[in-house]
Amino acid sequence: MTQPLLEVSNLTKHFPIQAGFLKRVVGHIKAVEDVSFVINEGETLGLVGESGCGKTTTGRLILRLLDRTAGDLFFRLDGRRVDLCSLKGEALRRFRTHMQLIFQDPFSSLNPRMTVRDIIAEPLRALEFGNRKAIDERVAWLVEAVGLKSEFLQRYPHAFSGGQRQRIGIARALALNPKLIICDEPVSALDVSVQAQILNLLQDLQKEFALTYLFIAHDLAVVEHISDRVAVMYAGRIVEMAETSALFRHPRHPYTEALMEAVPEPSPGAKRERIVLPGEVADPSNLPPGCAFHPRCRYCQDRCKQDMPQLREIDDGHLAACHFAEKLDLKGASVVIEAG
Amino acid sequence: MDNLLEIRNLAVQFDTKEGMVHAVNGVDFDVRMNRTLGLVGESGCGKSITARAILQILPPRGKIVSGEILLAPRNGSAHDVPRVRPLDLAKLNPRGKAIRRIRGADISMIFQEPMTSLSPVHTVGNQIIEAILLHQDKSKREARDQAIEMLRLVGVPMPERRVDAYPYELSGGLRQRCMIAVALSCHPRLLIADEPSTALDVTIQAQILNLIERLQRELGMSVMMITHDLGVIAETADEVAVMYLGRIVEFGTAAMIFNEPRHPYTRGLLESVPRIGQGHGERLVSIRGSVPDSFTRLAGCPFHPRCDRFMKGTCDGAAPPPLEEVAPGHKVACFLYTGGARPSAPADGTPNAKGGA
Repeated sequence: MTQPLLEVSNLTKHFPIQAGFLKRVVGHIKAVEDVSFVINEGETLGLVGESGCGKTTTGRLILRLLDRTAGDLFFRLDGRRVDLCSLKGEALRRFRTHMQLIFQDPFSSLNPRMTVRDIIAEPLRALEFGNRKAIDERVAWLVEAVGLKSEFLQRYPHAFSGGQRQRIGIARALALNPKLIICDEPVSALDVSVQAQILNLLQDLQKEFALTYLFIAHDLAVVEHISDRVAVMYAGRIVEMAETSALFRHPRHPYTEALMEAVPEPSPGAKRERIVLPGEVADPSNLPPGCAFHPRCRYCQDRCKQDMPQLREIDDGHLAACHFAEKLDLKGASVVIEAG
Repeated sequence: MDNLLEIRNLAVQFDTKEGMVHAVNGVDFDVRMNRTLGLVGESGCGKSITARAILQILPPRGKIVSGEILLAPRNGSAHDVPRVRPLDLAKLNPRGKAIRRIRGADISMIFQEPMTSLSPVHTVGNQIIEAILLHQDKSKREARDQAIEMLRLVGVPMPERRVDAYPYELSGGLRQRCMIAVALSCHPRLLIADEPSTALDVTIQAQILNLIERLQRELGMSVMMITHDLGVIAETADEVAVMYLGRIVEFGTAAMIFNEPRHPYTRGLLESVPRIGQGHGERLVSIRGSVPDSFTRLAGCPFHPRCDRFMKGTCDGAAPPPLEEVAPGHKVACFLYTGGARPSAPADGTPNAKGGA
């Protein structure tokens, strides 16, 4: 039985909206609202949603790069259950060795004035990994592990392509032997042919170093490919969470269905009968009453406009936040038949 | 002719301090009347530069060094209208009056990021009105009414109010709709859409793609859809040109490109994209290496260092493979198919055909 590595319970983050000279708080952006999930050791949890749904904020709250408004975070380390939210100062800094982040944009996340060696060595130096020789050896080893040549160490980031830069970012994230890596849109800035290389690399590294991933992305196909389980977010809340195949074959939330329908298929034969979702993503500072998705939902009923649906278990391990999850017969992704 | 635009042997170069960049190297294709041509490729393949060359809005230092861009004369449906010769846009002065009359009126373009291509200091209404007044003989009042009509046409809610909104007041999806309204305000014959949905969320992307398709049907125009997203191409394009390092490597109908890809690059691209419904997958097939930087000039086929069908002595020879027809309407630039001996291996034809045609 796999152990939970990270437990997130009722995590909430409200950003105040300030206005005027006195910076009075006039409202709140409810970026993350009552989000709970567990990531088991060695698994990949995909977190998908459209821009502004709170997926990146969730990642940053877990890393304690942002302070939560409410909720709890527990991290299991060597059999102990560490309360992440209680960590402060030096203890928090030290604890970050166990959790690292891979960024979306490989162009802005690497310091252009540092050599590759310094970029990868920085976390090692910051947490006193060892003497200079040990650090050099570790850096050389990391660079090989992510598929770059050690000759590149003296160069600056501008000399590398997007894919190679992302590899440098991954090497930096791996430097301190973390348990959990939060991948925030790690491939969305890359060319298609390079995207596949980086996804393969992330999977290989996961096997080799027993890593656990929280994989944040908006690309459903990428999330399906890499994740064991998937959570779908909308307007700050998780609206559906299930094992990957269950979620894609039998979605239980209308938003998940619409999201899958909207993705253009790279096969021209499958002429679309696209359900186009009307309207725009709900504004997290001014959420509609009831179910936040109801103004765009084609199955909306009166109840949805008043009652907010709770995330509840519909099938074994399949959670959805919809009043009618059992009644709706939603369309999953058509299974692609492999030929040849 | 059936073609609205014919591009022949177009080459664009950038004379930079670091050296000459050959951005587009002899590109040939046609845009057919009322059809959609998809131009697909990775960053740096020259797809946007090709589009900008058509409108003569190349970035500084960019120059069309050879080739023709022939725009069919505007004629009514009547056959008795005397034909005028097609106009070669490549020969026009980029700052001249002639090309200005084409821009917006005959050929319009929409861009990836509407926030950077709409003016932040003018209302969206004024930006539409500007285009109308420039090309049509209308009063300001009429132009304003037409602007409101355009906004309604592209599905902007409350167009009478939104006409006075500034771009920053609108969401990304609405901004993109406004940009389409600006582009279509003078009923161009060709709309060039350069990654029109890349910056948008998938549900908004679906809205915008549907909108472009609907407007194409209603207004009758050709569309050139430029994107790196194979899904978008498959859903919108009638014909597809695949570009790599400034050349077209494969051209055909969407069905040919997606169901019977011939060029190893096209095949690689199609295989490397994960698809919905494939499940939690094992390793993806990827193309090795990455797109070389734009200063690199490779001998022979530009794809040879990354190609898994590389043939020593042939692919890295002196000349790149010509774009030749391998089946009616299906052109490929690859030594596997052209230049005599055809190897037996690709004879199965459809190694990664997925889904039905």
